[in-house]
Amino acid sequence: MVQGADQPAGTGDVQTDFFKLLGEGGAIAQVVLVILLIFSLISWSVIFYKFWQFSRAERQTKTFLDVFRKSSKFSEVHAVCRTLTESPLTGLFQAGYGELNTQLRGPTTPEAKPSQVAVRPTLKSLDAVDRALLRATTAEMNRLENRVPFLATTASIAPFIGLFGTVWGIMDSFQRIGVAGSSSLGVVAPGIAHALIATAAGLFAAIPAVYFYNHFTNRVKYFSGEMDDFSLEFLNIAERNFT
Amino acid sequence: MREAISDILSERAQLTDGMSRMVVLSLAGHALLVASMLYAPAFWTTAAESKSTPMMISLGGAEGPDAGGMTTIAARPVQRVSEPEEKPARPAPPAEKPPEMVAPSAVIKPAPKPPAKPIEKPRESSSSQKPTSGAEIKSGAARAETTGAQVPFGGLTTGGGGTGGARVDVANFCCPSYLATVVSTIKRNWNQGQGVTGQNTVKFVVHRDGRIDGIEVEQSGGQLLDITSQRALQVTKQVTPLPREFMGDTLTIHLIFEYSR
Repeated sequence: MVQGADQPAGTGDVQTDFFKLLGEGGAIAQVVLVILLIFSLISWSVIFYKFWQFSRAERQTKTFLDVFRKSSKFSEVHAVCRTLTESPLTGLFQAGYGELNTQLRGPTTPEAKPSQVAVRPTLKSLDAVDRALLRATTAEMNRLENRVPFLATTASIAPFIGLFGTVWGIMDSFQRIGVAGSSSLGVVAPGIAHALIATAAGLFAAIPAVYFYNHFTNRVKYFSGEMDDFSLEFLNIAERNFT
Repeated sequence: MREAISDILSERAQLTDGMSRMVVLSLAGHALLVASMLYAPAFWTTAAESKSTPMMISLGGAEGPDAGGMTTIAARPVQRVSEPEEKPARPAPPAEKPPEMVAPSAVIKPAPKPPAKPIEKPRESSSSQKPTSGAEIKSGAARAETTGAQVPFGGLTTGGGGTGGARVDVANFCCPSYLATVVSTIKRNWNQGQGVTGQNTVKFVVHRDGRIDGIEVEQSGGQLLDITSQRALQVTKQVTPLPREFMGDTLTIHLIFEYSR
């Protein structure tokens, strides 16, 4: 009698079995899983952080360039800089402006107007300004690249850690086969299924890390180009007005 | 000696970053993922399964009243003996003509035959005494098994004796290899050379953890051999645990021990 559609029992069991499997493994397997979880946590933190940082940097760079190109006084631009701290160009500008200030008679703050007709203050060395900009560029690059290498580390290490867990688990299950004296599927399969979780976890941590590492390296490259562009622009303005 | 720019750069390097907030965000994301795997499994696993529509087979007839219902006999046509067909009556043959009168003729009658000798009936064989009738087929040690798996036992040392074996009570026992393992374990503890030829069958019960008990001689082969067989099992005490495929809690094995000189 097969009357009555019996709902296939144990649909939820698959999932609970999965989590039971997680708990059943040996100490090594659990340590591997915990390490992978930590890697995944940190790498996702880095991903979120970099997204946030880069999107802010991009927005503020746009605003900064708008202000910079519209205004006719460096002092005006310098005043705006305090609100746009995330943009790398702000750092460049502050360094260049500081160097200009010190050269054009130091702490008395000369009116460094781009279009000054009266007593024209002159720069002693344009190279020094260039060097200041270069220093700032390096510092800003460091700020942008900060923590991105962790993603590369995760991407390359996590699959290996997972593989280690799997190999260990399979060794363990083969040992169990030896003890049980039977090579039936019932003895072999659970051990191998459990062992494979480690590889899955490794890939789970590694795949986003690979993707976002490439993504962020690309964006850093874009910012680097923008900074080079800006420092050349700044040098040009300084040369035109102060020499 | 300190440059003005260094101050600016170091000031910028110390800007607050929101990393700690992002760690919390990442933690929350992972927790959410785990929770979604735990509590929302329905749409992950069942999607493929639920699409298949099962085919229902009712072995008890169609549903509903008076349609056969659950009783399997109700819908079946009743079998009964059919009425014998009436055959058309054969027309009666025409009546024979009465014999005509014939004149008697003088013929010598043959002499009557001597009465035939009664044929001697074979004597009923008595149950107590069998007539000697030469070689005949006797039931030997070989036995035809109809259920369970047979595993040869003692075959190596019998030297021309019959075949022994281990037999289980379960029909279609899943794992003949398990029986072979058990038999080889017992054989290690069995003192086979007793200087007497014979065989006996011993029944014992293997529990799920491999413990042996319930040792009983089923078919005796003399006191000495019985004790030897029982001792082999008692010394073994523990064999490989029952295979996972076997559903029962205990397995009863009938083992034939064969002794040869």
